Amino acid sequence: MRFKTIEFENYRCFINGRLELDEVDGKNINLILGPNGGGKTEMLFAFWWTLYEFDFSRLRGKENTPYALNSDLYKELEQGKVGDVKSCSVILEFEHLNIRYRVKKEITYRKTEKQIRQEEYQEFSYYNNNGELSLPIRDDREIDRRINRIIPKAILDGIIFDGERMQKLSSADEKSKKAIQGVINDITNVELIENCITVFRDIRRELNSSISKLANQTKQKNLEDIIGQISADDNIIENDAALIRDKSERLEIVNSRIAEISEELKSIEGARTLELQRENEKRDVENNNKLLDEYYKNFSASLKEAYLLNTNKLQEDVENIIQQIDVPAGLTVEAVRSVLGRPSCICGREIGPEQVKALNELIISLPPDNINSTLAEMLRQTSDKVRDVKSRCKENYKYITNCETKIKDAKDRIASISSQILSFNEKEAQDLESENTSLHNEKLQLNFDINRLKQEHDSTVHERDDLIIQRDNIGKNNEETNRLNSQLHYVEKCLNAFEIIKEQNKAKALTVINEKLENAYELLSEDAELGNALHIVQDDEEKKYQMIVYLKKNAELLYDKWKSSGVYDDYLYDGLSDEQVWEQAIIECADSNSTGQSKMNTLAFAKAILDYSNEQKETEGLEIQKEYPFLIDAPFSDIAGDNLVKAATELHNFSGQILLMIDEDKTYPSVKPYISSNINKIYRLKKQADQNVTSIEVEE
Amino acid sequence: MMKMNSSNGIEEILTGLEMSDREKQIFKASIKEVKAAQISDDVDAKGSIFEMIREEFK
Repeated sequence: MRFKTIEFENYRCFINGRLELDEVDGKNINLILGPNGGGKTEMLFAFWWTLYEFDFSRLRGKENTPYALNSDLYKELEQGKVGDVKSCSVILEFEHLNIRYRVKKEITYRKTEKQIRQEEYQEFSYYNNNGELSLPIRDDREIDRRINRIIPKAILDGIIFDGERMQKLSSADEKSKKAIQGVINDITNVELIENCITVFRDIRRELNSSISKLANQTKQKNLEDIIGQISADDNIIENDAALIRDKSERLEIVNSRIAEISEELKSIEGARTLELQRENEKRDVENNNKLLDEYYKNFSASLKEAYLLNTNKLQEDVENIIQQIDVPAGLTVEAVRSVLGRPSCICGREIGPEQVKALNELIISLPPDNINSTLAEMLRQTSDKVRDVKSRCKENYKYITNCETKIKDAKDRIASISSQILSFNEKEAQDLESENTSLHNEKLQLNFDINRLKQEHDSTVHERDDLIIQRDNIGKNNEETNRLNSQLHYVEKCLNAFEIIKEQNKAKALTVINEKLENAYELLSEDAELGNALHIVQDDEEKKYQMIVYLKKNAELLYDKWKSSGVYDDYLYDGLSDEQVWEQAIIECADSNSTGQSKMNTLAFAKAILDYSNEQKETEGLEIQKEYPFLIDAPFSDIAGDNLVKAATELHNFSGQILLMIDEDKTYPSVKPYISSNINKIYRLKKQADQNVTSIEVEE
Repeated sequence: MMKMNSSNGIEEILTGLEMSDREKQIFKASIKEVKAAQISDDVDAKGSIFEMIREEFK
């Protein structure tokens, strides 16, 4: 299968434009060059949208609008008048088994009083031998059926990749596992077996009807009733099986969505807790700021008396002076005056004018009474005050430092918390919680319905089997009935065989795909040289279809250890096969991936399934050789060194048709030497300034 | 180290279901008819298969 052309009109950022995707002289890479946000991913998923439904919210971070119409035109429509109409379309042509097909998808947007209504329209046609286009098929189910025959929906998960999908496919989430499962189911052509089952069921229905008519003709009322009942039971069994299948599929989707929501809710809950912590920390900062103001005030008050801290020298001087003018305790002015009032000294000597003069000079030179003790007291008080000021200053400084440290720590913690908090919208979180509740209710209901249907199915099968025994007994003597019964018996054996083959085929195919995956990984990834390998889980129920990278040596050591320690025998005793024990060892040794490694894993996966689909199978005609194109956007970003060289060099071997989209400035120069010899055409996407419009130019 | 699952081929499955060689042939031919119908709208797989079964069990 090859894409031939794609043509746009008002679709997303492409107002118009057309790509011719031929290959010439074995050059199988058509290259789309464009800047970031230039529309490469939009173009990639246009293929998906035209063939099937596409959820535009998957283009998160790109042009985030949920409609196919160009967003500028949509805005114009919103601002226009009631009755205004705008439309967008994509026409995709592809070739399969020498027939060229054409799929057109168009959406018309009409402004009404309340909203903008959209009407979707799809048509499918093909060119006959004369190059004339057939009348288009417009029935949605028929179109789906026809497209699905050529390029099944789930296979798109394995052949169309943007950077984000490349990175995610090897993660352990349910969505990725489901995508891998879908690709493997479709690539192993389960559809053919399903179609065989449908045909044989139709035949069984007709045979039952014939037997019933025969019984009616021969008036064997009893036999007719039994056969009628068998036929009715067959219908119930088929309907129940279909309902169980539908509900189980829905249950898988519900479970997958619940798992996704649970992860998102966990993040939101985490963000809420962190938000609470951040608020507490902010309150702490606020309180500490208040305290800090208080401490600064106290510190400032202490500083007013801080001049005292510089009075040590003065105090020493005063102390010295006090010591120098040390006056005996009784030598006061009063005492000298009393001596002057006396005629003679107590020693009997007369007090003459010289003594009087000396005594008067003494009076003048004597310090005031008690000066020593007063000064000493003042000195002591000053000294106490200095100690007090010093201690207060020290204490306040300590408080301030502590407080500032606390504030800084809290601010650091706030910054750290802020970097961990993922932004979330409370309204969206509530919507998510409400969706979660309704999904859980739906899950309960689905489980209930499935159990009820299974019981009904099993009991009807039991009843029908009993009726078949009765019918066979009654009809033994009827030759025609016998003949029809033989045919019916054979048809039932065939149906049984198809069911067994379907299950075995899927398991066998996964083994082959795993071998191809290991080979592709060895070819592409430099980590393979370090002993790493890649594996898709086959048997472990919980991890089935998960892509795991592991160190081979470690898995082998663990496997050998299990063998020597008896763990291996325990596994066998539990019913595991040798292959399943080996897989357990792989699971135990699973390693984590960097973004670049994840991309290499996805490239290896894509190569493995493309190799598988393109290979002639030895499955006795049950699988058809299918060759799919490979569409990939930004495969080389996050990849460097040998990985980049290997991936770029090997890319043209992935498929007969490759549509590669890369950034012209950042990536193209580094991969050009490895891909240029296989490039057929180069298209350039040019984004127009201030408009959501990208033009497509072909390099001649 | 990786080993292939030892699952049965179609032949073994059909033998296990006690089909004769002729029945096995019809079964395999039926698959071819359905495959042809899957590729082309002009093939009536059900009609052809039914005819083969009628012919075998007449």
